[in-house]
Amino acid sequence: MSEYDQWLLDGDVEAGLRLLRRITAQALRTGPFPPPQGYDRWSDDAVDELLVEMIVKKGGTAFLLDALASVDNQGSAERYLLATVQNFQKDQAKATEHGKLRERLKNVLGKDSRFMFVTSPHDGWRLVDGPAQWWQGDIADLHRTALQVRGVSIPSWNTAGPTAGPARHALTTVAVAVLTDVNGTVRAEDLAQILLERFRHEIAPESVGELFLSDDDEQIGRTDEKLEHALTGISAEELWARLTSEQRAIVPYLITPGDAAPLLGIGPKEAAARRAQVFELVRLATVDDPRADEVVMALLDIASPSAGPAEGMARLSREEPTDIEGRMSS
Amino acid sequence: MRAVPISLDASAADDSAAILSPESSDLACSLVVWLDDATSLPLRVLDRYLGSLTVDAGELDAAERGQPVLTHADERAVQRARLQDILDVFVAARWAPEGAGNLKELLGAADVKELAQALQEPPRTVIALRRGRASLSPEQAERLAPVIHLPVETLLAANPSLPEDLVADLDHPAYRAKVVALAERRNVDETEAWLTAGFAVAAVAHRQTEGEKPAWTDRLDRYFALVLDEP
Repeated sequence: MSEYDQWLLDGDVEAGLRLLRRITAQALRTGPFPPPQGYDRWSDDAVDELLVEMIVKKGGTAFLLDALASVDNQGSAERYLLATVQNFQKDQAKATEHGKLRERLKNVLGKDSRFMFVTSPHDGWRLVDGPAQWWQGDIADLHRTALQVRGVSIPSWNTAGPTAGPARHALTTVAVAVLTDVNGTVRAEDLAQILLERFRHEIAPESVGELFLSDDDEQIGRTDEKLEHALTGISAEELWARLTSEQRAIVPYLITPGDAAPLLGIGPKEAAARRAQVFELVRLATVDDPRADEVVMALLDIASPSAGPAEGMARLSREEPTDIEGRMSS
Repeated sequence: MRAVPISLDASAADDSAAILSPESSDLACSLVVWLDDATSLPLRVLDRYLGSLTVDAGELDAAERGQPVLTHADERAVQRARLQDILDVFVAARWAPEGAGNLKELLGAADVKELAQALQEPPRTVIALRRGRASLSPEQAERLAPVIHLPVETLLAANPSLPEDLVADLDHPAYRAKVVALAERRNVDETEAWLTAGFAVAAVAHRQTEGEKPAWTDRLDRYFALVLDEP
Protein backbone atom coordinates (compact mmCIF):
# COMPACT_ATOMS: atom_id res chain seq x y z
CA MET A 1 0.00 0.00 0.00
CA SER A 2 1.43 3.38 -0.99
CA GLU A 3 2.02 6.17 1.51
CA TYR A 4 -0.80 8.06 -0.17
CA ASP A 5 -3.27 5.18 0.31
CA GLN A 6 -2.24 4.73 3.94
CA TRP A 7 -2.68 8.44 4.49
CA LEU A 8 -6.07 8.75 2.73
CA LEU A 9 -7.74 5.42 3.38
CA ASP A 10 -6.41 4.59 6.85
CA GLY A 11 -6.25 8.21 8.04
CA ASP A 12 -2.59 7.57 8.85
CA VAL A 13 -1.23 11.13 9.18
CA GLU A 14 2.19 9.68 10.04
CA ALA A 15 2.29 8.18 6.54
CA GLY A 16 1.58 11.65 5.12
CA LEU A 17 4.40 13.10 7.20
CA ARG A 18 6.79 10.32 6.13
CA LEU A 19 5.97 11.11 2.52
CA LEU A 20 6.52 14.82 3.16
CA ARG A 21 9.90 14.13 4.79
CA ARG A 22 11.03 11.93 1.91
CA ILE A 23 9.93 14.46 -0.71
CA THR A 24 11.49 17.34 1.25
CA ALA A 25 14.84 15.56 1.43
CA GLN A 26 14.66 14.87 -2.31
CA ALA A 27 13.74 18.49 -3.12
CA LEU A 28 16.49 19.92 -0.95
CA ARG A 29 19.26 17.60 -2.09
CA THR A 30 18.55 18.13 -5.78
CA GLY A 31 17.57 21.82 -5.51
CA PRO A 32 19.66 24.98 -5.86
CA PHE A 33 19.34 26.25 -2.30
CA PRO A 34 22.18 25.94 0.21
CA PRO A 35 21.63 24.13 3.56
CA PRO A 36 20.88 26.20 6.69
CA GLN A 37 23.67 27.87 8.61
CA GLY A 38 25.79 25.37 10.50
CA TYR A 39 25.43 22.61 7.92
CA ASP A 40 27.75 21.92 5.01
CA ARG A 41 25.27 19.65 3.20
CA TRP A 42 21.62 18.61 3.30
CA SER A 43 22.05 15.98 6.02
CA ASP A 44 19.01 14.35 7.66
CA ASP A 45 19.30 16.88 10.51
CA ALA A 46 19.41 19.81 8.05
CA VAL A 47 16.33 18.45 6.26
CA ASP A 48 14.48 18.09 9.55
CA GLU A 49 15.42 21.61 10.60
CA LEU A 50 13.89 23.07 7.45
CA LEU A 51 10.86 20.80 7.73
CA VAL A 52 10.18 21.91 11.31
CA GLU A 53 10.59 25.55 10.29
CA MET A 54 8.15 25.06 7.40
CA ILE A 55 5.53 23.39 9.60
CA VAL A 56 5.87 26.12 12.26
CA LYS A 57 5.61 28.94 9.70
CA LYS A 58 2.59 27.33 8.07
CA GLY A 59 0.88 27.19 11.47
CA GLY A 60 0.98 23.40 11.85
CA THR A 61 0.31 20.50 9.54
CA ALA A 62 -3.06 21.78 8.27
CA PHE A 63 -1.53 22.34 4.82
CA LEU A 64 -1.38 18.57 4.49
CA LEU A 65 -5.18 18.55 4.41
CA ASP A 66 -5.05 20.85 1.40
CA ALA A 67 -2.60 18.44 -0.21
CA LEU A 68 -4.91 15.50 0.43
CA ALA A 69 -7.87 17.37 -1.04
CA SER A 70 -5.94 18.38 -4.14
CA VAL A 71 -4.43 15.05 -5.25
CA ASP A 72 -5.77 11.65 -6.16
CA ASN A 73 -2.83 9.27 -6.19
CA GLN A 74 0.73 8.73 -4.94
CA GLY A 75 2.29 10.49 -7.93
CA SER A 76 0.19 13.64 -7.71
CA ALA A 77 0.70 13.71 -3.91
CA GLU A 78 4.46 13.65 -4.44
CA ARG A 79 4.28 16.44 -7.05
CA TYR A 80 2.06 18.55 -4.80
CA LEU A 81 4.35 18.22 -1.78
CA LEU A 82 7.41 18.87 -3.93
CA ALA A 83 5.85 22.15 -5.11
CA THR A 84 4.97 23.03 -1.49
CA VAL A 85 8.56 22.59 -0.33
CA GLN A 86 9.96 24.49 -3.31
CA ASN A 87 7.54 27.37 -2.78
CA PHE A 88 8.48 27.55 0.88
CA GLN A 89 12.15 27.77 -0.04
CA LYS A 90 11.40 30.52 -2.56
CA ASP A 91 9.46 32.47 0.08
CA GLN A 92 12.37 32.12 2.48
CA ALA A 93 14.79 33.29 -0.18
CA LYS A 94 12.55 36.29 -0.85
CA ALA A 95 12.54 37.32 2.81
CA THR A 96 16.32 37.15 2.80
CA GLU A 97 16.50 38.99 -0.52
CA HIS A 98 14.51 41.89 0.88
CA GLY A 99 16.98 42.49 3.71
CA LYS A 100 19.96 42.14 1.40
CA LEU A 101 18.46 44.45 -1.17
CA ARG A 102 17.90 47.17 1.43
CA GLU A 103 21.59 47.01 2.31
CA ARG A 104 22.58 46.88 -1.36
CA LEU A 105 20.52 49.99 -2.14
CA LYS A 106 22.55 51.94 0.41
CA ASN A 107 25.55 51.19 -1.78
CA VAL A 108 23.95 51.49 -5.22
CA LEU A 109 21.71 54.53 -4.64
CA GLY A 110 24.04 56.00 -2.01
CA LYS A 111 26.84 56.37 -4.56
CA ASP A 112 24.53 57.84 -7.20
CA SER A 113 24.26 61.64 -7.08
CA ARG A 114 20.57 61.57 -8.06
CA PHE A 115 19.47 59.97 -4.76
CA MET A 116 19.43 61.13 -1.15
CA PHE A 117 19.24 58.80 1.87
CA VAL A 118 17.12 60.01 4.80
CA THR A 119 17.40 58.51 8.31
CA SER A 120 14.80 60.38 10.34
CA PRO A 121 12.22 59.51 11.55
CA HIS A 122 13.04 56.28 9.67
CA ASP A 123 15.20 55.17 6.75
CA GLY A 124 14.00 56.41 3.38
CA TRP A 125 14.96 57.54 -0.13
CA ARG A 126 14.15 60.59 -2.23
CA LEU A 127 15.49 62.31 -5.32
CA VAL A 128 18.05 65.02 -4.55
CA ASP A 129 16.05 67.64 -6.42
CA GLY A 130 12.67 66.40 -5.15
CA PRO A 131 10.56 67.52 -2.19
CA ALA A 132 11.30 66.12 1.27
CA GLN A 133 7.81 65.27 2.53
CA TRP A 134 7.06 61.62 3.25
CA TRP A 135 4.93 59.81 0.74
CA GLN A 136 1.70 58.31 2.11
CA GLY A 137 -0.14 56.69 -0.75
CA ASP A 138 -1.18 53.24 -1.91
CA ILE A 139 1.92 51.12 -2.46
CA ALA A 140 0.11 49.29 -5.27
CA ASP A 141 0.38 52.52 -7.31
CA LEU A 142 4.15 52.45 -6.95
CA HIS A 143 4.28 48.78 -7.93
CA ARG A 144 2.37 49.75 -11.10
CA THR A 145 4.81 52.56 -11.83
CA ALA A 146 7.71 50.13 -11.46
CA LEU A 147 6.04 47.66 -13.81
CA GLN A 148 5.71 50.35 -16.47
CA VAL A 149 9.48 50.71 -16.74
CA ARG A 150 10.56 48.54 -19.66
CA GLY A 151 13.85 47.30 -20.99
CA VAL A 152 15.62 46.86 -17.70
CA SER A 153 16.40 43.51 -16.22
CA ILE A 154 18.62 41.76 -13.76
CA PRO A 155 20.04 38.86 -15.74
CA SER A 156 20.28 36.50 -12.80
CA TRP A 157 20.58 36.40 -9.06
CA ASN A 158 23.51 34.09 -9.08
CA THR A 159 26.39 35.86 -10.73
CA ALA A 160 28.71 38.51 -9.42
CA GLY A 161 30.91 41.02 -11.19
CA PRO A 162 29.92 41.14 -14.87
CA THR A 163 26.19 41.46 -14.19
CA ALA A 164 26.62 44.18 -11.62
CA GLY A 165 26.49 46.97 -14.22
CA PRO A 166 23.10 46.06 -15.75
CA ALA A 167 21.79 45.23 -12.29
CA ARG A 168 22.83 48.65 -10.98
CA HIS A 169 21.33 50.33 -14.02
CA ALA A 170 18.10 48.35 -13.66
CA LEU A 171 17.73 49.19 -9.97
CA THR A 172 18.47 52.91 -10.36
CA THR A 173 16.25 53.30 -13.45
CA VAL A 174 13.23 51.86 -11.69
CA ALA A 175 14.06 53.74 -8.46
CA VAL A 176 14.13 57.06 -10.37
CA ALA A 177 10.73 56.27 -11.94
CA VAL A 178 9.22 55.37 -8.58
CA LEU A 179 10.66 58.35 -6.69
CA THR A 180 9.61 60.72 -9.48
CA ASP A 181 6.09 59.37 -9.15
CA VAL A 182 6.26 59.65 -5.35
CA ASN A 183 7.42 63.28 -5.54
CA GLY A 184 8.72 63.00 -1.98
CA THR A 185 10.43 60.50 0.31
CA VAL A 186 9.56 56.83 0.45
CA ARG A 187 10.47 54.38 3.20
CA ALA A 188 13.57 52.32 2.42
CA GLU A 189 11.76 49.04 3.12
CA ASP A 190 8.96 50.00 0.72
CA LEU A 191 11.37 50.91 -2.06
CA ALA A 192 13.24 47.62 -1.58
CA GLN A 193 9.96 45.74 -1.74
CA ILE A 194 8.89 47.52 -4.92
CA LEU A 195 12.21 46.85 -6.65
CA LEU A 196 12.19 43.23 -5.54
CA GLU A 197 8.68 42.72 -6.92
CA ARG A 198 9.53 44.47 -10.18
CA PHE A 199 12.24 41.93 -10.94
CA ARG A 200 10.94 38.93 -8.99
CA HIS A 201 8.74 37.44 -11.70
CA GLU A 202 11.43 37.35 -14.33
CA ILE A 203 13.93 35.36 -12.32
CA ALA A 204 13.54 31.61 -12.70
CA PRO A 205 13.58 29.93 -9.29
CA GLU A 206 15.99 27.35 -10.68
CA SER A 207 18.61 30.07 -11.08
CA VAL A 208 18.49 31.18 -7.46
CA GLY A 209 21.82 30.36 -5.96
CA GLU A 210 24.31 32.61 -4.36
CA LEU A 211 22.36 35.84 -4.42
CA PHE A 212 24.19 38.64 -6.15
CA LEU A 213 22.54 41.02 -3.73
CA SER A 214 24.86 39.82 -1.00
CA ASP A 215 27.91 40.56 -3.09
CA ASP A 216 29.54 43.57 -1.39
CA ASP A 217 32.27 44.08 -3.92
CA GLU A 218 30.27 45.42 -6.82
CA GLN A 219 32.18 46.55 -9.88
CA ILE A 220 30.96 50.08 -10.33
CA GLY A 221 33.27 50.81 -13.27
CA ARG A 222 31.36 48.39 -15.48
CA THR A 223 28.18 50.46 -15.45
CA ASP A 224 28.94 52.42 -18.61
CA GLU A 225 30.09 49.54 -20.75
CA LYS A 226 27.07 47.49 -19.84
CA LEU A 227 24.58 50.32 -20.22
CA GLU A 228 23.98 49.79 -23.90
CA HIS A 229 23.22 46.13 -23.38
CA ALA A 230 20.69 46.91 -20.68
CA LEU A 231 19.02 49.59 -22.78
CA THR A 232 18.43 47.29 -25.70
CA GLY A 233 16.86 44.68 -23.49
CA ILE A 234 17.94 41.12 -23.14
CA SER A 235 18.41 38.39 -25.68
CA ALA A 236 15.98 35.55 -26.17
CA GLU A 237 18.53 33.06 -24.87
CA GLU A 238 18.91 35.03 -21.65
CA LEU A 239 15.17 35.16 -21.20
CA TRP A 240 14.79 31.47 -22.07
CA ALA A 241 17.38 30.57 -19.45
CA ARG A 242 15.26 32.26 -16.79
CA LEU A 243 11.92 30.68 -17.67
CA THR A 244 10.57 27.90 -15.50
CA SER A 245 9.84 24.55 -17.13
CA GLU A 246 6.13 25.43 -17.02
CA GLN A 247 6.74 28.75 -18.79
CA ARG A 248 8.94 27.08 -21.40
CA ALA A 249 6.22 24.54 -22.14
CA ILE A 250 3.79 27.26 -23.24
CA VAL A 251 6.26 29.02 -25.57
CA PRO A 252 5.52 26.85 -28.66
CA TYR A 253 1.88 27.96 -28.39
CA LEU A 254 2.44 31.70 -28.07
CA ILE A 255 1.15 32.30 -31.59
CA THR A 256 -1.18 29.28 -31.82
CA PRO A 257 -3.17 29.71 -28.61
CA GLY A 258 -5.90 27.25 -29.57
CA ASP A 259 -3.52 24.27 -29.40
CA ALA A 260 -2.07 25.00 -25.96
CA ALA A 261 -4.80 23.68 -23.67
CA PRO A 262 -5.46 20.31 -25.38
CA LEU A 263 -1.81 19.55 -26.15
CA LEU A 264 -0.52 20.49 -22.70
CA GLY A 265 -3.46 18.86 -20.95
CA ILE A 266 -4.42 22.02 -19.08
CA GLY A 267 -7.56 24.16 -19.00
CA PRO A 268 -8.15 27.07 -21.41
CA LYS A 269 -7.94 29.74 -18.70
CA GLU A 270 -4.66 28.41 -17.36
CA ALA A 271 -3.30 28.24 -20.91
CA ALA A 272 -4.31 31.89 -21.48
CA ALA A 273 -2.79 32.96 -18.15
CA ARG A 274 0.47 31.15 -18.88
CA ARG A 275 0.72 32.72 -22.35
CA ALA A 276 0.00 36.16 -20.88
CA GLN A 277 2.68 35.52 -18.27
CA VAL A 278 5.39 34.84 -20.84
CA PHE A 279 4.32 37.81 -23.00
CA GLU A 280 4.49 40.04 -19.93
CA LEU A 281 7.94 38.77 -19.01
CA VAL A 282 9.07 39.66 -22.53
CA ARG A 283 7.38 43.06 -22.34
CA LEU A 284 9.05 43.90 -19.03
CA ALA A 285 12.46 42.91 -20.31
CA THR A 286 12.37 44.75 -23.64
CA VAL A 287 12.44 48.43 -24.51
CA ASP A 288 9.62 48.50 -27.05
CA ASP A 289 7.12 46.29 -28.84
CA PRO A 290 9.15 45.67 -32.02
CA ARG A 291 12.00 44.43 -29.83
CA ALA A 292 9.50 42.34 -27.86
CA ASP A 293 8.21 40.80 -31.09
CA GLU A 294 11.72 39.78 -32.03
CA VAL A 295 12.34 38.18 -28.68
CA VAL A 296 9.05 36.26 -28.89
CA MET A 297 9.88 34.95 -32.37
CA ALA A 298 13.34 33.93 -31.22
CA LEU A 299 11.84 32.16 -28.18
CA LEU A 300 9.64 30.20 -30.57
CA ASP A 301 12.71 29.10 -32.48
CA ILE A 302 14.50 28.08 -29.31
CA ALA A 303 11.47 26.11 -28.15
CA SER A 304 11.16 24.34 -31.49
CA PRO A 305 12.69 20.87 -31.15
CA SER A 306 14.03 21.00 -34.70
CA ALA A 307 16.08 24.15 -34.16
CA GLY A 308 18.83 24.85 -31.68
CA PRO A 309 19.15 28.35 -30.20
CA ALA A 310 21.92 29.38 -32.62
CA GLU A 311 19.96 28.31 -35.67
CA GLY A 312 16.86 29.98 -34.29
CA MET A 313 18.63 33.28 -33.80
CA ALA A 314 20.24 33.09 -37.25
CA ARG A 315 16.84 32.71 -38.85
CA LEU A 316 15.49 35.71 -36.99
CA SER A 317 15.31 38.87 -39.05
CA ARG A 318 13.40 42.11 -38.98
CA GLU A 319 11.69 41.15 -42.22
CA GLU A 320 9.96 38.19 -40.63
CA PRO A 321 6.23 38.76 -40.45
CA THR A 322 5.44 39.38 -36.83
CA ASP A 323 2.17 40.44 -35.43
CA ILE A 324 2.80 40.05 -31.77
CA GLU A 325 2.00 43.60 -30.78
CA GLY A 326 -1.72 43.02 -30.49
CA ARG A 327 -1.18 39.94 -28.42
CA MET A 328 1.34 41.69 -26.21
CA SER A 329 -1.19 44.29 -25.24
CA SER A 330 -4.14 41.92 -24.99
CA MET B 1 -26.37 24.99 -5.38
CA ARG B 2 -24.25 28.09 -4.86
CA ALA B 3 -20.61 27.28 -4.14
CA VAL B 4 -17.34 29.10 -3.58
CA PRO B 5 -13.88 27.51 -3.84
CA ILE B 6 -11.72 27.51 -0.72
CA SER B 7 -7.98 26.85 -0.51
CA LEU B 8 -5.50 26.93 2.34
CA ASP B 9 -2.47 28.74 0.96
CA ALA B 10 -2.89 32.37 2.06
CA SER B 11 0.13 33.50 0.02
CA ALA B 12 -1.71 32.54 -3.21
CA ALA B 13 -4.68 34.82 -2.40
CA ASP B 14 -5.29 37.96 -4.44
CA ASP B 15 -7.70 40.82 -3.76
CA SER B 16 -10.63 38.77 -5.08
CA ALA B 17 -10.26 36.38 -2.15
CA ALA B 18 -11.05 36.82 1.54
CA ILE B 19 -8.60 35.34 4.05
CA LEU B 20 -10.27 33.89 7.15
CA SER B 21 -8.36 33.33 10.37
CA PRO B 22 -7.82 29.82 11.80
CA GLU B 23 -10.36 30.67 14.53
CA SER B 24 -13.13 31.15 12.00
CA SER B 25 -13.74 27.44 11.42
CA ASP B 26 -13.22 24.04 12.98
CA LEU B 27 -10.59 23.30 10.34
CA ALA B 28 -8.23 25.40 12.51
CA CYS B 29 -6.18 26.89 9.69
CA SER B 30 -6.28 30.02 7.52
CA LEU B 31 -8.79 29.72 4.69
CA VAL B 32 -8.71 31.54 1.37
CA VAL B 33 -12.30 32.07 0.19
CA TRP B 34 -12.38 32.95 -3.54
CA LEU B 35 -15.47 35.16 -3.32
CA ASP B 36 -15.31 36.49 -6.88
CA ASP B 37 -15.28 32.94 -8.25
CA ALA B 38 -18.51 31.90 -6.51
CA THR B 39 -20.71 30.00 -8.94
CA SER B 40 -23.61 27.57 -9.25
CA LEU B 41 -22.57 23.93 -9.17
CA PRO B 42 -24.60 20.77 -9.73
CA LEU B 43 -24.81 18.59 -6.60
CA ARG B 44 -23.40 15.68 -8.58
CA VAL B 45 -19.84 17.06 -8.44
CA LEU B 46 -19.56 16.92 -4.65
CA ASP B 47 -17.38 13.89 -4.03
CA ARG B 48 -16.22 13.96 -0.46
CA TYR B 49 -17.47 15.57 2.72
CA LEU B 50 -14.54 17.27 4.44
CA GLY B 51 -16.28 19.20 7.20
CA SER B 52 -18.59 22.11 7.78
CA LEU B 53 -17.81 25.79 7.86
CA THR B 54 -20.12 28.43 9.24
CA VAL B 55 -19.04 31.98 8.59
CA ASP B 56 -20.90 35.14 9.35
CA ALA B 57 -21.50 37.10 6.13
CA GLY B 58 -20.32 40.26 7.89
CA GLU B 59 -17.08 38.56 8.90
CA LEU B 60 -16.54 37.52 5.28
CA ASP B 61 -17.09 41.06 4.04
CA ALA B 62 -14.72 42.49 6.65
CA ALA B 63 -12.07 39.82 6.20
CA GLU B 64 -8.57 40.66 5.02
CA ARG B 65 -8.00 40.32 1.27
CA GLY B 66 -4.90 39.19 -0.57
CA GLN B 67 -2.61 41.59 -2.42
CA PRO B 68 -3.84 42.58 -5.90
CA VAL B 69 -2.27 40.98 -8.94
CA LEU B 70 -0.63 43.88 -10.79
CA THR B 71 1.02 42.06 -13.65
CA HIS B 72 0.34 39.00 -15.80
CA ALA B 73 3.82 37.89 -14.79
CA ASP B 74 2.55 37.18 -11.27
CA GLU B 75 2.37 33.42 -10.72
CA ARG B 76 -0.81 33.89 -8.68
CA ALA B 77 -2.65 34.80 -11.90
CA VAL B 78 -1.78 31.36 -13.28
CA GLN B 79 -2.81 29.64 -10.07
CA ARG B 80 -6.19 31.36 -10.05
CA ALA B 81 -6.78 30.55 -13.73
CA ARG B 82 -6.09 26.90 -12.90
CA LEU B 83 -8.68 27.03 -10.14
CA GLN B 84 -11.21 28.61 -12.50
CA ASP B 85 -10.62 25.88 -15.09
CA ILE B 86 -11.40 23.25 -12.48
CA LEU B 87 -14.58 25.08 -11.52
CA ASP B 88 -15.65 25.25 -15.17
CA VAL B 89 -15.30 21.47 -15.43
CA PHE B 90 -17.54 21.08 -12.38
CA VAL B 91 -20.12 23.52 -13.70
CA ALA B 92 -20.35 21.63 -17.01
CA ALA B 93 -20.34 18.12 -15.52
CA ARG B 94 -23.27 16.05 -16.91
CA TRP B 95 -24.17 12.40 -17.00
CA ALA B 96 -27.72 12.65 -18.33
CA PRO B 97 -28.09 12.88 -22.13
CA GLU B 98 -29.60 16.07 -23.48
CA GLY B 99 -30.67 14.76 -26.86
CA ALA B 100 -33.79 15.34 -28.99
CA GLY B 101 -35.20 11.86 -28.40
CA ASN B 102 -35.63 10.91 -32.09
CA LEU B 103 -33.56 7.72 -32.04
CA LYS B 104 -36.71 5.83 -33.03
CA GLU B 105 -36.86 7.65 -36.37
CA LEU B 106 -33.17 7.07 -37.04
CA LEU B 107 -33.16 3.40 -36.09
CA GLY B 108 -36.69 2.54 -37.24
CA ALA B 109 -35.93 1.15 -40.69
CA ALA B 110 -32.91 -0.99 -39.75
CA ASP B 111 -32.98 -4.65 -38.83
CA VAL B 112 -33.00 -5.26 -35.07
CA LYS B 113 -30.64 -8.23 -35.18
CA GLU B 114 -28.19 -6.42 -37.42
CA LEU B 115 -28.16 -3.43 -35.07
CA ALA B 116 -27.76 -5.67 -32.04
CA GLN B 117 -24.81 -7.37 -33.69
CA ALA B 118 -23.18 -4.03 -34.46
CA LEU B 119 -23.77 -2.84 -30.93
CA GLN B 120 -22.58 -6.14 -29.45
CA GLU B 121 -25.70 -6.05 -27.28
CA PRO B 122 -28.81 -8.28 -27.06
CA PRO B 123 -31.75 -7.36 -29.37
CA ARG B 124 -33.78 -6.07 -26.42
CA THR B 125 -31.27 -3.22 -26.06
CA VAL B 126 -32.09 -2.14 -29.62
CA ILE B 127 -35.78 -2.26 -28.81
CA ALA B 128 -35.19 -0.18 -25.67
CA LEU B 129 -33.24 2.33 -27.75
CA ARG B 130 -36.02 2.56 -30.31
CA ARG B 131 -38.58 3.17 -27.59
CA GLY B 132 -36.53 5.91 -25.96
CA ARG B 133 -35.95 3.75 -22.87
CA ALA B 134 -32.20 3.71 -23.14
CA SER B 135 -29.49 5.98 -24.50
CA LEU B 136 -26.50 5.35 -26.74
CA SER B 137 -23.09 5.72 -25.16
CA PRO B 138 -20.42 7.43 -27.32
CA GLU B 139 -18.78 4.01 -27.87
CA GLN B 140 -22.08 2.46 -28.98
CA ALA B 141 -22.76 5.41 -31.30
CA GLU B 142 -19.35 4.86 -32.93
CA ARG B 143 -20.13 1.18 -33.54
CA LEU B 144 -23.56 2.02 -34.96
CA ALA B 145 -22.60 4.97 -37.17
CA PRO B 146 -21.11 2.96 -40.09
CA VAL B 147 -24.02 0.52 -40.04
CA ILE B 148 -26.77 3.10 -40.46
CA HIS B 149 -24.63 5.64 -42.31
CA LEU B 150 -25.06 8.53 -39.91
CA PRO B 151 -22.45 10.60 -38.08
CA VAL B 152 -21.73 9.77 -34.42
CA GLU B 153 -22.76 13.28 -33.40
CA THR B 154 -26.18 12.89 -35.03
CA LEU B 155 -26.80 9.65 -33.16
CA LEU B 156 -25.77 11.10 -29.80
CA ALA B 157 -27.90 14.19 -30.40
CA ALA B 158 -30.91 11.89 -30.93
CA ASN B 159 -30.62 10.29 -27.49
CA PRO B 160 -33.72 10.61 -25.31
CA SER B 161 -33.54 12.98 -22.39
CA LEU B 162 -34.53 12.09 -18.82
CA PRO B 163 -37.00 14.11 -16.73
CA GLU B 164 -35.08 16.96 -15.12
CA ASP B 165 -36.46 16.32 -11.63
CA LEU B 166 -35.44 12.66 -11.85
CA VAL B 167 -31.89 13.70 -12.81
CA ALA B 168 -31.82 16.17 -9.91
CA ASP B 169 -32.90 13.44 -7.46
CA LEU B 170 -30.27 11.05 -8.79
CA ASP B 171 -27.62 13.76 -8.29
CA HIS B 172 -28.41 13.89 -4.59
CA PRO B 173 -25.61 12.40 -2.45
CA ALA B 174 -27.97 9.79 -0.95
CA TYR B 175 -28.69 8.30 -4.41
CA ARG B 176 -25.18 9.01 -5.70
CA ALA B 177 -23.92 6.52 -3.10
CA LYS B 178 -26.34 3.91 -4.43
CA VAL B 179 -25.28 4.63 -8.01
CA VAL B 180 -21.66 4.03 -6.97
CA ALA B 181 -22.70 0.75 -5.33
CA LEU B 182 -24.54 -0.27 -8.51
CA ALA B 183 -21.48 0.58 -10.64
CA GLU B 184 -19.27 -1.59 -8.41
CA ARG B 185 -21.73 -4.45 -8.43
CA ARG B 186 -22.08 -4.48 -12.23
CA ASN B 187 -18.48 -3.56 -12.90
CA VAL B 188 -19.41 -0.55 -15.03
CA ASP B 189 -18.39 3.07 -14.70
CA GLU B 190 -20.38 5.53 -12.65
CA THR B 191 -21.93 7.33 -15.61
CA GLU B 192 -23.21 4.07 -17.07
CA ALA B 193 -24.70 3.12 -13.70
CA TRP B 194 -26.36 6.52 -13.51
CA LEU B 195 -27.86 6.07 -16.98
CA THR B 196 -28.99 2.52 -16.22
CA ALA B 197 -30.80 3.61 -13.07
CA GLY B 198 -32.27 6.74 -14.69
CA PHE B 199 -33.69 4.98 -17.73
CA ALA B 200 -34.93 1.98 -15.75
CA VAL B 201 -36.89 4.18 -13.36
CA ALA B 202 -38.16 6.44 -16.15
CA ALA B 203 -39.32 3.38 -18.13
CA VAL B 204 -41.34 2.03 -15.22
CA ALA B 205 -42.94 5.42 -14.73
CA HIS B 206 -43.74 5.62 -18.42
CA ARG B 207 -45.53 2.26 -18.35
CA GLN B 208 -47.75 3.34 -15.47
CA THR B 209 -50.66 5.06 -17.13
CA GLU B 210 -53.27 4.79 -14.39
CA GLY B 211 -53.61 5.79 -10.75
CA GLU B 212 -51.62 8.29 -8.69
CA LYS B 213 -48.01 8.48 -9.81
CA PRO B 214 -45.48 8.10 -6.99
CA ALA B 215 -42.61 10.58 -6.50
CA TRP B 216 -39.29 9.85 -8.22
CA THR B 217 -37.67 9.30 -4.84
CA ASP B 218 -40.16 6.51 -4.04
CA ARG B 219 -39.47 4.91 -7.38
CA LEU B 220 -35.72 5.28 -6.91
CA ASP B 221 -35.91 3.71 -3.43
CA ARG B 222 -37.78 0.72 -4.83
CA TYR B 223 -35.42 0.38 -7.78
CA PHE B 224 -32.22 0.45 -5.72
CA ALA B 225 -33.71 -1.89 -3.10
CA LEU B 226 -34.32 -4.35 -5.92
CA VAL B 227 -31.03 -4.08 -7.79
CA LEU B 228 -28.87 -3.85 -4.69
CA ASP B 229 -30.80 -6.53 -2.78
CA GLU B 230 -31.55 -4.09 -0.01
CA PRO B 231 -34.38 -4.76 2.44
